[in-house]
Amino acid sequence: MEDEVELALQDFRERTREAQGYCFTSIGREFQAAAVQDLRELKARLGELKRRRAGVGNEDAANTLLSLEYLVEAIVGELQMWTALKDDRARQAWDHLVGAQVAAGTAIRAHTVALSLNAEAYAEKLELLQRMVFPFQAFMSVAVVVESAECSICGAEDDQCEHVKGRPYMGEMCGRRITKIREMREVSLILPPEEPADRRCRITSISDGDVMRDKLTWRAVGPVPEREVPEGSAATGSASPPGRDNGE
Amino acid sequence: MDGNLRARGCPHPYALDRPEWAPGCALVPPLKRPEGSCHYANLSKSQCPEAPLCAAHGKAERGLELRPRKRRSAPGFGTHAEGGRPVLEASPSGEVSVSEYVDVEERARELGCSIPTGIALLPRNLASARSKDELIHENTVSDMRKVLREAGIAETTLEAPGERFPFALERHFDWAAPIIFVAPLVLTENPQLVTVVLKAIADHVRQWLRGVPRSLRSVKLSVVVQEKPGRYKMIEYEGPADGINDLADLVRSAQWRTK
Repeated sequence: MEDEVELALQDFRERTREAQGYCFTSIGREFQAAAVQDLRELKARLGELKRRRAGVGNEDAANTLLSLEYLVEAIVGELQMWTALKDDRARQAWDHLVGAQVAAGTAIRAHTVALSLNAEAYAEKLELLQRMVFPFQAFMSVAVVVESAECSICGAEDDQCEHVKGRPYMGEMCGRRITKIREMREVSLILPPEEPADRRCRITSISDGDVMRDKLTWRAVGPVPEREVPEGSAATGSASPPGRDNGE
Repeated sequence: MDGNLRARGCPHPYALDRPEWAPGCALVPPLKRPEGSCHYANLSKSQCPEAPLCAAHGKAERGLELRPRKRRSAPGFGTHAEGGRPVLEASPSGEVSVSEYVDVEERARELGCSIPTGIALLPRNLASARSKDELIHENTVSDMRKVLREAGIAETTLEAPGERFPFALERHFDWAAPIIFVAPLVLTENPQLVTVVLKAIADHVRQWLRGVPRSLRSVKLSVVVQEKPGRYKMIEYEGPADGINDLADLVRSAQWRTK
């Protein structure tokens, strides 16, 4: 590995070791906020070096640095989750955790350096955190028929280039931008053991029969919306918990 | 929700219907489940979140007992050919089922598509589409085509040059490959091509699943082969990426070969 990249890796190890020491509920908020700031600076340095390596065509170094960037983002996400929880911002905390999970997974896919840094175990830890810190969540999912999409690397029609979605290319992950949707097929409720593609697409509040409650905090967030009863239907207007009537 | 539970402060609105969703809640009665059954019966043993303590999945692991699994709906929005009673096959690492499939050549002709003569990626609803406009691919189709090209495999597509079928995007986490069609000529001319195709796909999927939680590292893949003239079989696999390679022998044994 190049000296410059080796130095960046060393820097990464030192900074993240320190930051991960703050990834606990009991640690003071000010330390966690300072660690986030510190990691953001580290990420900017890694990004700058990545661009330089990509500029000279060193793909392996660029992808290594991309992987480190994502790992930093994951730890930032975890720290932000803890601070958001302390600030009683449960929704943001959930989004930060999901962001951290996505970043950790992407880091592992970007380069094998992440595996040598034990990123798989870290990703598993984030999965556990979701189950231990937050209550059970239900998700929504849509199914669409896509007419055309383009490659995020070169902008060509999805099937007209050789970039494969989910692989890194010169320090950039390949994705797909949907450009035209032909039709929307369905919207469905995703319950365990099914898994949504995006955990941020979740049901945020449910009715307990009396009021609507936030799915994360269980606080009342408003009255139960009136249910529209089709004409001639024998259905009553009372709301029931969604687990009972939306099918599985 | 049970009034008593709520009054006692239980925050789990589903508690009585689904006690397994409130694990550890002191207010929820313990989960009673028939001995040997598993709430996650539709998952493979590697995915079961209750493994290795799960009696149902544990038993399957020890004795390789194959239970007729619930037939999942056909890939796509349509259905399989009629009369396709699944036949269960033992697989060392995943679940394999074999069923009848429509006459691919005939369907391609009916719908006005090109007739595949080699390896082809079929639309998910080829069996049920009423017209060519309805044909839809799995969302992994363009990546699979690139992977096959990387491996030096030429595909004979149903699409005419310049034509493109849309693909379905479903926002639940699932890696499903498009249906892979292996024409009889392929095995006659190059029997090892099936192994090369499946290896290329397995390598790609393994890379794709890196970074995905272990419980979700499962893939779905279907291969359609011609059993004899006018009669086609679909071999469906669901399980870990490593098991994809094991399908090659099954495909070769099911395939009718041209003389």
